[in-house]
Amino acid sequence: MIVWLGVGEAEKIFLVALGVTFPIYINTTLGIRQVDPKLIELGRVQGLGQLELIRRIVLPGALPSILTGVRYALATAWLALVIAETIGAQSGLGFLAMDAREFLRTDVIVLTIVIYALIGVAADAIARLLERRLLAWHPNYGGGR
Amino acid sequence: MTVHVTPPSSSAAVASPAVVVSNLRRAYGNRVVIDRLNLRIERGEFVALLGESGCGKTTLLRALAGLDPVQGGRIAAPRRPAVVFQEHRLLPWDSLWRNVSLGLQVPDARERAADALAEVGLGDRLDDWPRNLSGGQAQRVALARALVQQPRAFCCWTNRSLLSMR
Repeated sequence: MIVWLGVGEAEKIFLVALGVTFPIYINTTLGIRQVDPKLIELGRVQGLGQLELIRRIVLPGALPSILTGVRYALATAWLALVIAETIGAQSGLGFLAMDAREFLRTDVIVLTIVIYALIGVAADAIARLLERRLLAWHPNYGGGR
Repeated sequence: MTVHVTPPSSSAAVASPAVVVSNLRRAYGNRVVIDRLNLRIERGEFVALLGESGCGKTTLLRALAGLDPVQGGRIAAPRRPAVVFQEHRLLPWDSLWRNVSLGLQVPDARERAADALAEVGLGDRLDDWPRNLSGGQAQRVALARALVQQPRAFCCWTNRSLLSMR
């Protein structure tokens, strides 16, 4: 892929996209499979159309799994991004680290690592916030009363 | 299976029957659960199905509600009867009024849901989650969800806890 897309923005975006697609896809299908068939039946009985059924019952039911996928994907995306940034970059954090390595600037290298770590933690915090907000109804997520 | 039929109230018998089941048959594999069942329910009539577990009460109700393909015989029933299942089947991710108004295609869905919830004595819990309800309260919300559809027929699995509120 690096050969095809060259070393640039496109290659980075592709690497990250590849990293996030499968965790989200697999967890979403798992979530949909695990939706309670009794609730689907209820939706039919209440006269929901196919779209309404998906919006009101299938998606909310699959949401815990979907968000797990998103959280996992964020970690993968971050990993992929760091690699992509480090291999072929003319500017940015990865470039800064590689440049510092060249000149034996340990302090700069440590700084870039700390920045990477901070952004990673922030991304995970956002995912956890999403879980708490969107799954407030769920006794195991919303910190139920 | 025993079928206990309470006599219809005076004027109801004149109209055509609400539900007619003729020669219904349902088997799960080789086990025949319902064989040549005939049932006639008049408008306004209240019928209770009693019987030991596994005798086919649920099978008959599922057939009446159109949840089960008819294997043999014929069922003439209103197209969309309201159903109250054995379990409450409330959507855990929706507030009570959203649960009650599920499938309701009217602009004043919230008011209608509020009325129905008030009818079952939970009018002050519109925005509460189902998980904060007791078992009996959850059953009452499920009942409100069926009532709000203003159904022409009503299929209801029940136990004593739901009947106790009548």
